Amino acid sequence: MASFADQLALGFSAALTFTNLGYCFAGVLLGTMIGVLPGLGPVPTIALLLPITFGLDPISSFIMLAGIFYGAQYGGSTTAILINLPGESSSVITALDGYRMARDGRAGLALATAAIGSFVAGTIATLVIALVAPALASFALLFSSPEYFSLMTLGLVLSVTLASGSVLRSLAMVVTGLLLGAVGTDVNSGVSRFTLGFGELYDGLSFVALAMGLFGISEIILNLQRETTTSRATAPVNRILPSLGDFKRMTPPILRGTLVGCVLGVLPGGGAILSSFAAYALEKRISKNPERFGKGAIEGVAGPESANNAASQTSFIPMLTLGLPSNPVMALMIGALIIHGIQPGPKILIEQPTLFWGLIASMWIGNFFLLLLNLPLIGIWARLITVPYHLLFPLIISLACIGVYAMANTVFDIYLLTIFGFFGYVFAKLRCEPAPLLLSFILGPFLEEHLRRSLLLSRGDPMIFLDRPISATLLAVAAIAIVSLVSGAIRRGRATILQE
Amino acid sequence: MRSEKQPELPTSGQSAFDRHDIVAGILFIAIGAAFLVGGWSYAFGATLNMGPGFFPRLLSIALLGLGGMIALRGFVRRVESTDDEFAWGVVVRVIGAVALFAVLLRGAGLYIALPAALLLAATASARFRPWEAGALAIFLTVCCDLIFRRALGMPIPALGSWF
Repeated sequence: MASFADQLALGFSAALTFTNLGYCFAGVLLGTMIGVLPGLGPVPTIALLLPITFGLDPISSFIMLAGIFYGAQYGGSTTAILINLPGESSSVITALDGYRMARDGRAGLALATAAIGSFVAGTIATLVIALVAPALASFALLFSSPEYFSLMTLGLVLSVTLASGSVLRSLAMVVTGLLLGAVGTDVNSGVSRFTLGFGELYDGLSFVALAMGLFGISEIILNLQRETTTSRATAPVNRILPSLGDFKRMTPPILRGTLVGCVLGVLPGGGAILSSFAAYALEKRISKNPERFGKGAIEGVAGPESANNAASQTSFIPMLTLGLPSNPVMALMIGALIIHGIQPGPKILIEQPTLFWGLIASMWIGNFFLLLLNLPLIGIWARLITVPYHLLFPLIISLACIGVYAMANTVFDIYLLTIFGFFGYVFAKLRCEPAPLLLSFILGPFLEEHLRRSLLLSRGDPMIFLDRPISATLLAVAAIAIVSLVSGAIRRGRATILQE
Repeated sequence: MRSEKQPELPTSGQSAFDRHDIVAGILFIAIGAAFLVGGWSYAFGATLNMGPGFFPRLLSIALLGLGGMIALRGFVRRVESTDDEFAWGVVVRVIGAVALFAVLLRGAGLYIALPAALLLAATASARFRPWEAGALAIFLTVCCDLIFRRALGMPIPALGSWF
């Protein structure tokens, strides 16, 4: 096994090509932009770009798509600070103190804090991935089907426990996603399931249409329903560079936030939102003057922003090492892997080292770009915020329609888009979380396959999942998670964090 | 366990069934039933040799159970009734726009399907102004044509088979 330095060198040699630098830049720029724009997030954007990346080199595709994801965390904080309208849900917490700072004329400082915090967090998180992922992957190579089955079950259960909203509903969404994933030709028996005679469904439902409908189109309908005709005035941005005192005050929260984000980002269903909430709660709890929070405390920006950026990067770890998506974006990334014919799982580090290390190296480069991009371009982002939504959403619809069509060149998928868009809105209205559905949709076929193989291994004995230690442990954790859910403990904890 | 009436009920609504739970429950029951019926003919197999119907049937039964529990909870739990409306107007226009695009694309081509769809979608906004929407629709069509059809070479018909 090559040394760490060798692997990093391999990664940088792939990431530093002119082409890949370009894709990295394009990705983070686009990501920041959609983070700034209301109503457009990384999930629909990445879903739309997937068909286009089909023709690209896998490394370039991933570099760009990843850049969009963590770039969006930067962009979302900009709107949160300037107009108290978080562009991304993970920036909700940043708005609390960030917007107050802006109102007090310290918008520049808030933005700088967010950018610096995010950069430091991103750098450290990338290092964490580089260190942790190979170890985790070699451990995972010991896995076989029963362990994978239990791991995926645990992943889905965790995504339910950490999602907001009713547990029962999220569970039902998971099962629905698994059922939708079963649509198509069953590889083992050749039977085409639930295809209703449509040849277009032999390969399953288009997950671009599903993701775009559930997250993109439904979001449009929701936004139009809530539309207001007031325009948004942005706070003026003047002094950007923080003073020495500011640096001293933001450093500990940044480091703490990074730690929180690195850990929570790995958990399925956790991710950026949970990390930023937890970091804020942490800062407030250990602060000597907690009453400053909510009134423009710099720690209230530094901690959460670092946390959400760190989390958005470490959330790549389960996807890259175990093939387990911890959030909808990672589910799409797995889809991208499949498009390029790469089997997700721990073998990626062995079979595609350039992809893995190139991606890691590009993450560091991307964070660097974002630091450079965000501060000088504040003016442009501020202008972008004022784009009225009724001019924006036709753009999203055009991209959705064309993007979905381009995937398989069939109008059928556009009809799927209408169906999923409609149900996406229905689910949102019924307060059913779409994320667990998307995760389970992607995992469903794998889950079934591992179940089948496990039962073959055990000659039909379902106890195999409990007989094997790793698998039993994973299932036990899943059971504990469900039990603690039912007892409401987690929900109470989250509610207190939300209240503060 | 609440027994007497609360003296101060919020003014927006009285205690009622949790409509969201009931509807959600019914929806999940419907989905579960659909998959159960649809997958009835697939061989179930045994645990040793799972057939194509094994996984889906288990899942649909689970979904029926979950849907039932959710609906039941909706009847048991009392919540404040909120006026949360279903924006049919917006839904019809936005979904209709996408469907319109699907219908027109092959026959009429991008140059007609996209502006038509975008115009319909634009009417969903409270800030709809016909000329502005029309100009935007044309602008976006031109951009999409340049980027997707010409630059990226996607096989999208410009003017479709009706011409």
